[in-house]
Amino acid sequence: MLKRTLLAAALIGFTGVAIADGHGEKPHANPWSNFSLDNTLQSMPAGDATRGQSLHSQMMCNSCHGENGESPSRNYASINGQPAEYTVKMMLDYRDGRRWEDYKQANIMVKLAQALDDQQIADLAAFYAQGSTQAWGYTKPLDQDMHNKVDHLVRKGDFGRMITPCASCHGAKGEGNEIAPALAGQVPEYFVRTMQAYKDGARHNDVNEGMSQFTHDLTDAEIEALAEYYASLNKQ
Amino acid sequence: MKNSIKLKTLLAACSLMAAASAQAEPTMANAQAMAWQCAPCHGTNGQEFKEAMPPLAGMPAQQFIDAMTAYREGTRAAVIMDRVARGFTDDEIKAMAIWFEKQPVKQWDKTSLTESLEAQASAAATGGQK
Amino acid sequence: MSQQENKVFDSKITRRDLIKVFGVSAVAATGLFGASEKAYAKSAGHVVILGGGIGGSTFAKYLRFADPDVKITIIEQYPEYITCPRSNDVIVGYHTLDELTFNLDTVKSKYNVNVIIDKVTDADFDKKTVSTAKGQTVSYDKLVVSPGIDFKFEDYEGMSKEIAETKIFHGYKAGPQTLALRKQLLAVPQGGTAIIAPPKNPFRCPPGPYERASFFAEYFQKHNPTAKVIVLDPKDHFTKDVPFKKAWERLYGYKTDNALIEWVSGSEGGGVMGVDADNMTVETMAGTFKADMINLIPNQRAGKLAQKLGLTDASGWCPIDRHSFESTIQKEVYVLGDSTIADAMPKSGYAANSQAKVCAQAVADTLKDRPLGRAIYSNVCYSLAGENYGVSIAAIYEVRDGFIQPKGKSAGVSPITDKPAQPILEAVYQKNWQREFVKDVFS
Repeated sequence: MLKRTLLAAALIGFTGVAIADGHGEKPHANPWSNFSLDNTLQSMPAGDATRGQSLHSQMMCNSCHGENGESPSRNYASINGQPAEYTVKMMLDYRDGRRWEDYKQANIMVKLAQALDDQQIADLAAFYAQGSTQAWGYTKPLDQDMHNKVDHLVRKGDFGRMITPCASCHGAKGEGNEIAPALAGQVPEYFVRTMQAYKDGARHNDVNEGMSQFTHDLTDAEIEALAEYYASLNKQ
Repeated sequence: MKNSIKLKTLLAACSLMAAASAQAEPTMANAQAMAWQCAPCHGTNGQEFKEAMPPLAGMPAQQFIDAMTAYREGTRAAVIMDRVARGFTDDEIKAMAIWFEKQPVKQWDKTSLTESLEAQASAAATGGQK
Repeated sequence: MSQQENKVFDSKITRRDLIKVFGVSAVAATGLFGASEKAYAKSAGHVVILGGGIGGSTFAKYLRFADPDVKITIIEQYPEYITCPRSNDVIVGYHTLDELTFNLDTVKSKYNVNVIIDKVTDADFDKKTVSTAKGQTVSYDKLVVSPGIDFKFEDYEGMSKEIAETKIFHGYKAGPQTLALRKQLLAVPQGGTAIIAPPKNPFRCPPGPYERASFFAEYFQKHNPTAKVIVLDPKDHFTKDVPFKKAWERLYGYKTDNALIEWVSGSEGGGVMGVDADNMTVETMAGTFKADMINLIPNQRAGKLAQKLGLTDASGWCPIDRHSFESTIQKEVYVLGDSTIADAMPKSGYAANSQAKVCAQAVADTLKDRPLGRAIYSNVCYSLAGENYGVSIAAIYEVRDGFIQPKGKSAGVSPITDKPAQPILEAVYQKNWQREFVKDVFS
């Protein structure tokens, strides 16, 4: 079974059948609605974590995201412990052009996603979901004031700015839930880049533009503090 | 105080040069000379933040050292960096790491010449030592 | 180092301080501050660069890093420069020439470099001046020449400069040649033949002909599946031949009956002896080949300016000091890039950029009478064997036993693995490299 998966991966890679031609022409995917996303996720095949682990190495995901999905540097996201739905959605978004941002940055993920079929995406997602998040190894401690301030944002939100508590979607310990990614242990620089990309509109694969709205009124200092707050959390 | 630190740094560099003079040239290239060689892929002074090859400017030195060592030893999967990292010794990797850590976390085309000269000078002043 | 930093160093740390620490002999032996303190009184000097391509532009920028005060002038014949790197993409339509066209505006404004658009006609090494077609005479303290390559059309019966401009194109200087090849490729009839004839070593961009062969095959696969590429090679090996041939097997049926690429090696008689441009035939030891297009990439030597200035040796290339790229024929003249004898380093844009940085530091150090640092060079060549299939070669270099050689265990080509991601990622990196590289050179 494993062998067949590898062979399939090899065929897809080496014939280039599944890969779009051209130097970065963007596929035209419609934005998600709740309905279309639910349907798409439900129609995905069941993932197999063992096959996913093998693909993690075959597709060289480990070269940037670490041996089990824990990023080795500020330059990449940690993807261990992510809910399977989140990983599937991201890979589909890369593949279909919804997560494009600046293509120059996204093009590694776009090309790799285009080389995978739905089964392989599900397998990878199962592998990452099976792992657990771990606190980022290069954290900088927040001062108590700032910690209290962002802790309030995380747990209570800010009604005045229409910011719902982060925890309501991402979990009390930042463990994530379905398409809301785990934030515990996330690489802070990646966290900041992502929030800024939502804020300035470069990224818009969020359903109903939720994250764009929440980030709209956050200050840079708050975003950076949130990044450090989550980086030091461990889902356990 | 600041000057005396600078003086000490320079004197440390001088003693290295003096030691090396017996062999006609220093034992390793200086950090800046090595770091410049990374630019065609990682941007001038590692300051290319909008491309798929990762930026090196401002990267915490330990992350740089961990990455290069893992590439060199073959413990981290790599497309090409394993072949590059095998060209460097521990001391050379450390010197580059410290040099890059001092570069601004800023896109190259938004960085003025003055800013860059200051960052390069401040990195050079470390003499590759933390 | 900023001007202010320089002043701090100059005034606070005197020769006397050093003597206190090391004693007279140590300072004399290291030559740390040169033969005398007069160096500091000397004006910053004027460095003149002939050629504003990859080598020349990189040199100017990095010399400014190495010396904030020196006067820098580039003399370049053309107001715009088209990079050879990625020009194969233009032949098959993945890029336009516009996307590969750059100028010296940023180098001029950001790095305070004088740019003279004019053709250099001669140099007087005794008077240390260069003269131009428009009648200017420019004095220099150090001269840097980055003259590129020239073709040896005379190595092939029936070949000439005129034929290379009208019928049998090389496409090895990006521009009209590139577009001419594109036109010919698109006109190859169904089931037709394209011949690519690479040169003997050494030559510019060693993987270039083989990437081009791959691109032609990919183009035929999509648009003209019964057509064929024949590579007529005077050599038995070429750079990255193992991963290239593996890619050809995987993508283009190489070595099967339906192969889109056929490669005839030197020992199989692939070396081209002559061409008949009117009948579109190629003479080799293996026989006469007829084609619908012939892309003969002639044998090469250092660029015409290097020849004219007498900077070449009997090999036709420019000998240089490996630590600084100063000409070993003419003192105070430095040569960069494809025209130099750089031992293990290939003639690539990346190598020219690498050499320019070492040379810039060496020129700055020499102007200030500082000892030269240890030279370190690098090269990475990414090539596409297909739109989504990259292969690469990479090495770090040092000077060892008098030659530029790979440092440590750094040299290597793409491994052949069962990982489908390897060639996909290399292809992404290849495109990414092109964008980052030109920024390091021109901005």
